[in-house]
Amino acid sequence: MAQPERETEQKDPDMASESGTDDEDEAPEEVTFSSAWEQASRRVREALETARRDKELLKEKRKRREKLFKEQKKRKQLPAEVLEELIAVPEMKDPVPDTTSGITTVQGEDQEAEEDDDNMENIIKPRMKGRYEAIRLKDQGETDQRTERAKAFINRRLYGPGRMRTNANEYYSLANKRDANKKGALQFVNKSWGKKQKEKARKLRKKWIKKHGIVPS
Amino acid sequence: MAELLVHRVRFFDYLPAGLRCLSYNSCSGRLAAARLSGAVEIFSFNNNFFQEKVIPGDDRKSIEAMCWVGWNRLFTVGLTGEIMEIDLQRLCPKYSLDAFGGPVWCMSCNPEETHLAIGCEDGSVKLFEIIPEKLQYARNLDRQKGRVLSLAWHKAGSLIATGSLNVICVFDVKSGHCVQRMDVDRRISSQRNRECVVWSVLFLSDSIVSADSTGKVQLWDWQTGTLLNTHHVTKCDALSLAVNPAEDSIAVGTSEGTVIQFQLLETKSGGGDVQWVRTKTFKYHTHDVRGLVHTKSALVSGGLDAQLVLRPLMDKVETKSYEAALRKVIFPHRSLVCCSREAKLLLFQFPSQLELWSLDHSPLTGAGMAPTDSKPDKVLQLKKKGSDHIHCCCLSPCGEWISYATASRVCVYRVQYQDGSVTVTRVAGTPKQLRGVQCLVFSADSTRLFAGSERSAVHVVDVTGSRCTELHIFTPKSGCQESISLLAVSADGEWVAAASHGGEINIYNLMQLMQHCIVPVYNQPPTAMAIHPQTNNLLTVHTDHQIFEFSLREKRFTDWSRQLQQQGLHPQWVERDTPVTHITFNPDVPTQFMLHDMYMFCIIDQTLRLPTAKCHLYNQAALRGLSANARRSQAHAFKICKKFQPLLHVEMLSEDSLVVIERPLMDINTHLPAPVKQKKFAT
Repeated sequence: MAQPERETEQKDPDMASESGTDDEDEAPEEVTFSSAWEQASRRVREALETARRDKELLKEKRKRREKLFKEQKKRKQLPAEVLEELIAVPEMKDPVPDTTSGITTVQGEDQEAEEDDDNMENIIKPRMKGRYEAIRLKDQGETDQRTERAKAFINRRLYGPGRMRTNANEYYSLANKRDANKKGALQFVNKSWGKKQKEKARKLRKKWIKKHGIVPS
Repeated sequence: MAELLVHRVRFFDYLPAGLRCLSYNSCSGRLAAARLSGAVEIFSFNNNFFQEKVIPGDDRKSIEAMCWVGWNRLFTVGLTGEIMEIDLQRLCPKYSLDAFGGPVWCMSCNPEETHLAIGCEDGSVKLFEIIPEKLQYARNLDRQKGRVLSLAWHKAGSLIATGSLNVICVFDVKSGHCVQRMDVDRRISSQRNRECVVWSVLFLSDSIVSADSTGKVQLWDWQTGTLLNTHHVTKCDALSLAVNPAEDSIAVGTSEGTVIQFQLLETKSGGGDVQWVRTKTFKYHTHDVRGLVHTKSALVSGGLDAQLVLRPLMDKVETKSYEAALRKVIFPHRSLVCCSREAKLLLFQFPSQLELWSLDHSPLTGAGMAPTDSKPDKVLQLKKKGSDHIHCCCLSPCGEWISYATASRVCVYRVQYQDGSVTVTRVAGTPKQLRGVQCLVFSADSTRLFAGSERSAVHVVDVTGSRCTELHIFTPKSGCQESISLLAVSADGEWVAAASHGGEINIYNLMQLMQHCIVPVYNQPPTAMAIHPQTNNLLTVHTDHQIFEFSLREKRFTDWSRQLQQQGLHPQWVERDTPVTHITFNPDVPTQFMLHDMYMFCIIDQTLRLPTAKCHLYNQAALRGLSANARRSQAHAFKICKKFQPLLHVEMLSEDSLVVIERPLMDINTHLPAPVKQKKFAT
């Protein structure tokens, strides 16, 4: 008697999942309303609980992360005194750039800082007085890169492959060559340049003389 | 003066930077020329094409386009992506503004002069509103693909034409939309797949003209977007375009260095049909012509060969005249060399460094002349600090002090020579307010430095102590706002003369520390100025080559100067095309002084008669063949020598010796960027 009972107990969950494939003939188990209600309410409660717990976990995680960020930020920041100094300056000075003083430059601490190069203590103070502008180095790098790219473009378009460019020697030697009174290439006529070529020519001449057995007079 | 021993110096490796763009202001008759180094030069058409002002360049800056607004506002843009206004009084940048569109390639101002349009690397055209003392971002036009390399406004101010890679677009300024798109043919036989760069566009009242990298000049109907006409002008790039105000003549600059003129001519006489016809080809440049200006009567071209050429277009003038002559500007119209007579040292100014050379082997002993076979001796090379270029420099007469000025600072160095070694120490304490210095000079006894700065102020600085100390600031009573262009000090240390860019010359007394007088203002600015060491007369030479001698003590022009003005200078002298850049005196003969321009130097003897218009000005060769008596009767005051050319500087040393600094043009040419290959038959 006890065995078949256990069997039915074991089959029970199966019945719930696969609604009557092989136990179609069996009558549904009788469940009282109160127990079913209790079961359902428990399930709801459990679901709510898990949701709340997840939310709390997430919150905690977020909090932890924020804290970390704050710490990181603090670590990156300049020392407190420097910050105070920075905050204090705009109040004293008119933030509008002085048009009479010309363009603001990056290396504003030029004159005074330069003069007191060794004096480390004085560096901070004159730094605030100089005409300067704070820039993000990252942006500067980008600008430089773009400028370089633009320069490369113009260089490629004017002097790149297929642009039919020659060198100065060839260009200016044409006139000498076509002259009624013929002269050598410019690098040999003009004493001031073409040192390399001249050296090469001198060596070649020496070789040629040696090879042909001519004794230089 | 019988004979002079000449030091012929050719080791000053001066290299002018190529010209990138030109801009002409028809109101003031001024031309701005930007060089590849970032320097801007202002030439005045009214003052004999004189290089009035130079705004020094910067390592970080590059200029791609310039634009005049109104009478005297000049804007520049460059590959750094900034728009900059130049302060033409203080000769430095006034302010700069990031356009936030990447490198800027082109700029143009609308005819009403209310807005500036710039073309950026990212394909956008941005409009900036011009307001007094400032520039304000207005808005963007529709963004296109590809960088905008050229840009032009329509005369009505409602349309903008832009040229970029393979395409020309027309924008409606009001809506900001592209209303017309014209594709440029990119195919030429040799380079099939290369993009065609539209280097320059012009917006005429009824058509658009474009010049591109395939060497075409094309005319487009902007209303229908159709091609009207194509002219193949070169096998390489057609780089620049310019149109005259009447819109009946166009000039095209090419990579080969040629400038080609197109004119709007009637196809049949009497008929109403007009057509653009290629008329003239000018070949004055060896390298790319990137800057071109077409004024009412002249064509100005600037090339990467660093030459600025003014070609007057006077077709109807039959006779040769001074006005119709071609002009070339190769060297700057100011001296880049300082000479110390006592120590026999030469200081050469480069944009980023100074070089000190010795004419003598041992500057310490300073005895005897350098033998002719000895090699020149470079004593010192001084590099500048910071990124801005050197504007002016000076060397003290004793050779111990060197000073130079950039836009932001003035530096003074002490050079000491000991047993063949050289030590350089910087003298600290240059005055803080010393900014925008245009001119520097040391006093004759080398104890004081005079610096001409903005608002015509002259600062007197004592350099002898361990630190510089400012002694006095002279300011003119006239309240002149222009900065100083030339300074001269007297040998006895009593006078200093300061000429400002407006042409006003103020004389200050250094003993009483007060202004002495103002030299009567001549309408042409001075190009060179010096005070005679013995007589204390101020000699000035102006842009129209007039020479004046002013007695400082008597506050009046000398008799010789009056006589010269009454008789008038020789026509050949007045019509020389390069200005006199330096005056030097013969220490042994007080009646003689020497001046030079690029092609000659001239010794003027005040005791001899002045040349009349009928006699020969260049009579040196003729005089040589005459007898002593005839020579005496034929001789006149101007003794001109053209043996040394082209000249950068001439200075008279003591003992009848002369130092002549030449710079052969071929030496400059060899260092220029690569020229375009020219196909010549049988070579």
